[in-house]
Amino acid sequence: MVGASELWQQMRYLMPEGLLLCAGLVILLFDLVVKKGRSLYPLAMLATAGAAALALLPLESSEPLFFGMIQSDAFARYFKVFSALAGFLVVLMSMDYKPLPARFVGEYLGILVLALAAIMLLAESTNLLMIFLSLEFLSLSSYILVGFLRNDKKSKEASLKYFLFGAMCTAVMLYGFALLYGASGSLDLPAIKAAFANRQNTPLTCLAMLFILAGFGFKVAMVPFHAWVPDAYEGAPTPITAFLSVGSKAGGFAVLLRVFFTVFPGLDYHPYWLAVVGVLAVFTMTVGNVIACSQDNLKRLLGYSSIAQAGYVLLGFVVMDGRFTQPAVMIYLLAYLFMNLGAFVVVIVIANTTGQEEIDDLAGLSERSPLLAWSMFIFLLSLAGVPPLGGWIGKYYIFATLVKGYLEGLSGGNLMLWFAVALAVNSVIAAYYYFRIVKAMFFEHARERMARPVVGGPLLTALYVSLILTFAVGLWPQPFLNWVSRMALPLL
Amino acid sequence: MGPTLDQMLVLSAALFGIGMIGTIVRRSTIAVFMSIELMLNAANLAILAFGRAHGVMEGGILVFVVMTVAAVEVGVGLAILVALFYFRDSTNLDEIDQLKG
Repeated sequence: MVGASELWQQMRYLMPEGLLLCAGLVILLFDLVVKKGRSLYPLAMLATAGAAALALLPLESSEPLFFGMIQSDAFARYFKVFSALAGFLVVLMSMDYKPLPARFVGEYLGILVLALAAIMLLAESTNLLMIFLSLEFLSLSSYILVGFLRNDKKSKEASLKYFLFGAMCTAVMLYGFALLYGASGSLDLPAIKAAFANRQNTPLTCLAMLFILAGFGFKVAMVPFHAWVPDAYEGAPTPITAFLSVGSKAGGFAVLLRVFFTVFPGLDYHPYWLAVVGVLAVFTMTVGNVIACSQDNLKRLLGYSSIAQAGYVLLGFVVMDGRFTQPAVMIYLLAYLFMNLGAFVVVIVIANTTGQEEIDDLAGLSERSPLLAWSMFIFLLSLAGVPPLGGWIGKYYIFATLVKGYLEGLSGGNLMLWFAVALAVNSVIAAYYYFRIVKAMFFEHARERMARPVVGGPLLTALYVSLILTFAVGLWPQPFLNWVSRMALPLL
Repeated sequence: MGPTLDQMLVLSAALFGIGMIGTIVRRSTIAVFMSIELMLNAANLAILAFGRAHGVMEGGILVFVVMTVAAVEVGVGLAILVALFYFRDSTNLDEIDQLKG
């Protein structure tokens, strides 16, 4: 049995999320006392920056912690850094987001900071119970944040749709957990893996895998569990849209990597996995890209674009090989974090200026604000995967993973080649709608009485950070790649 | 002797199916909430049945956690529904149609 003092010792591995949990509760408490919610912004920034710094400390344990609930390894640490960094940028973006009612800023920040802690817990859970709890923690905070604009009917509706869809996917996932528990007799991931060692695939494990994929697929916006994305993205406060598109998506990918890399390799299921995930990934990116072409609302367009991006990342999962898949997925997510948040910064500035978020509102942006127009241009190029930007590195590694899988003669290699072709074709479709935005910014003239956008300090900081890191991941990928491969899950 | 594992699993699968159909077919938000609860409890039943078959306790703890989380979930869901109800005196899903495209 583990003693109390030993548990206390183990607490030091949970410093980043501990800090965020405390900060979240302190912010909620302060909100009752301090009437001016804006004074809580520095606290939230300090908490997220502090959590990022704590997560960067090389404090790792190869032993399971807290009765096997948590494994605080390098992989978890990577997603802790990721989540804290995303949180810091989202807090910066929220500071100048006008529609947010000043009275409720405290609650908003408190819940946001707690949601970041939920992502961290999700990335380090190694027990189905803990996975369920942290996934629900993240989902419930997200539902509330999406519906945060009190007087906006769209925000409330988005929240309800997100909630209904999410609750249903969670229930399906829980049934998957029940089946997995039935097949293995344990909730602990390593124990499940041991129970599955050298066992044949049964219908029960296949069904469990599919059901669990529903829950995680909902988080990462995989087709056919993507229906909530456009509505939730359009209705939510824009910083929360940005948070959903990177933060909660990264959490979903983290738990997907951990569960599918620790539990299922024992089973002889590779051909099924390849077909199911590959086809779903191709559907995900095709549906996202094709529907995005006909969108006029920027947030909706970026929502469909984020579905497509999830499809690209999922393709990395087709090659279930630890050497390739993990670094490719992780570097893609890192590049995606900066380019997508950057694009949302521009959307916030536009919405602050014109009060809406249509593509038309970008008309003539290059004359009104060259800085914003060129930054948006860079972010869109990166999202489209044009070298030498971050998004290109990500896409290159996913592509290379598929080709490597083919060359090394992994089973189903021919299929992988087709998936790689689908990725290339989809990148071309995506270029079409990204360049629609570019066309509006550079080749259309501003309507009369369109104000010059004003970018405040916090938004400008977020813009520059995203811009610099989008370039950095693309131009000097080596340090990032080294870091990412150090942080991957240990190979089996 | 209680019911066998097979009987419990059939019941659980039936409840899950009813819940799933309910979430898709019913147009009243409250009824959809209830269907989702049904699905969660179907999973609970399956977990308990498997736990008894394997002779392990872990699952029982998960069931307690799920019951608690389900209560929290309904709390959040009803709060969102009430907030939406202020704008529109209906809980019918077909009339909630501001967002489209």
